[in-house]
Parts: sequence; structure tokens; C-alpha cells
Amino acid sequence: MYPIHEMIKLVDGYGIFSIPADVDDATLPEISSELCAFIVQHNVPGLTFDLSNLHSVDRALWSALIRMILATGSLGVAVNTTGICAGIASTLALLGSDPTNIQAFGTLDRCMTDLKNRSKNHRASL
Amino acid sequence: MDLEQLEKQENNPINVLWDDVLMLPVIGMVDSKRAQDIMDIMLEEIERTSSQFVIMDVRGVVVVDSAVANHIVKITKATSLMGCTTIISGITPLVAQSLVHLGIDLGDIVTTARVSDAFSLALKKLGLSIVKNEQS
Repeated sequence: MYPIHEMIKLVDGYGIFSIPADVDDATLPEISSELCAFIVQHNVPGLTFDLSNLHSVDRALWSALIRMILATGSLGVAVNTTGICAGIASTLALLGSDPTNIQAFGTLDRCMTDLKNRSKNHRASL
Repeated sequence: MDLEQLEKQENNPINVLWDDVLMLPVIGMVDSKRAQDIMDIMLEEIERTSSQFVIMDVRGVVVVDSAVANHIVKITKATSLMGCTTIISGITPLVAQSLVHLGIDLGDIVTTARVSDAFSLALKKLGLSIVKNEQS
């Protein structure tokens, strides 16, 4: 397994977490725990999951990814995704995946803008 | 490009209407194969252009029944996973009534009666507006 600090990059305090191409549903829960610990330790206000390395997913892997995204979001962190390729989007739609749990954007720049806006609004509401 | 891909593109001509806005007019019958072709074409173009909106105009679709509606729902879910919102335009009064009559719920899908409304909506969401030039 990869060290967590090699998978996550901090830009202006916000995290970009690149999902490795060879990840599987068995290793994701462990990665998820480490990721959550990293977020708390570094006080990360928002995180983008970059899925551009993934070229195929099955139902089990997608469920594990969603669980990881939801776990991260439950820490009160703004979360979004980018990099889902056409093939994966098509497969997920055919599998009946419900995308309401995730907020996706076409580019990393848009993800960063979204994270900054959401965490600003979150701070303002506190 | 192979013949099948060429045929797919000819039957489903997707265009960049504006920066970040794509448009695909759908004409004729939509069966499972056609729906898959439409989805493939749309997703490939979204991947290529990173567009934020795609307008799917269904005014020319012969019949919008529950099967077609299900295809539309799947397509919008797939585009949303890529960060692109699908706006369905061309919902005629007859189609709107038959969707309600069939008990079909399009959920959160954004629908408009006219393409121009869909385009205006996309521009508005992008923070853009069309202003009449006072000189003309």
C-alpha cells in the first residue's frame, strides 16, 4: 500500500487525494482510515478526490469509494470529486449508481473553487 | 475512426454551443442501443471539452415513454458523475402530460420547454448573460 502522504497533495491548505490506479475494495477501508486521520491531523478544510487514474471500476470498488467519500465528509470537510472518465461514468450509470452523494466537477480548478466557496460559507455559518 | 463510430456521431451530432455548453438534438426513436450511443457520444465530448452543461433537446423524439425516460435518467446521472449538468429541452405539452400520466418522475433533472430557455439557464448558471448591443 502507498503511504498516505504520497497520495495526498495540499494546495492552499486544501487536499487533493489521488486514487491509485491499482486500488481495490479490500485496501480502501485502511486507506480511508489513514486519510481521515490525516485530515484531522492537518486540519484540512476541504478535499478533492481525483479519480483520473482509475480506468475501470466494479460495484464493490465503487461502493468502497463512496464509503470513503462519505466518511471524509462526515468529518465536516467539504468534499468533491473529479477525473471520472467517460467509460467509468457510463458503467456506473448502467450499474444504477446514484450520484447524489457526490459532487463532481470536470476540472481540478473547479473543484478548488467549490471547496473554497463551501468552506467559506461553512465558516460564515458557524 | 471506424465506421460504427462515424455512424454513431452522424446520428447523434453533438455541438459546442458556447464555452462549457454542449448541445445534442435527439431526433427519431430512442431504443436501448440508441440511448447507449447518445450516452457514449455525450460522455466522450464532456471528457474532451470539460463542459459544465449539456442540453439534450428531445423535441424530435417520436415517443417519450417510460423506457425513454429511464434512458434519460441514466444519461443525466452519468454526465453528473463527470461534473456536467444535463438540461432536457423540448418537452412538449403532450410529452409533459404523458410523463405525468405514466407516473414517470424525472427527479431532479432540469427540464425546459424550449432550447432557448435551456441555453439561457446554462448561461445564467455560468454567470453569463446576453446583452443587446445598443448601437445596433
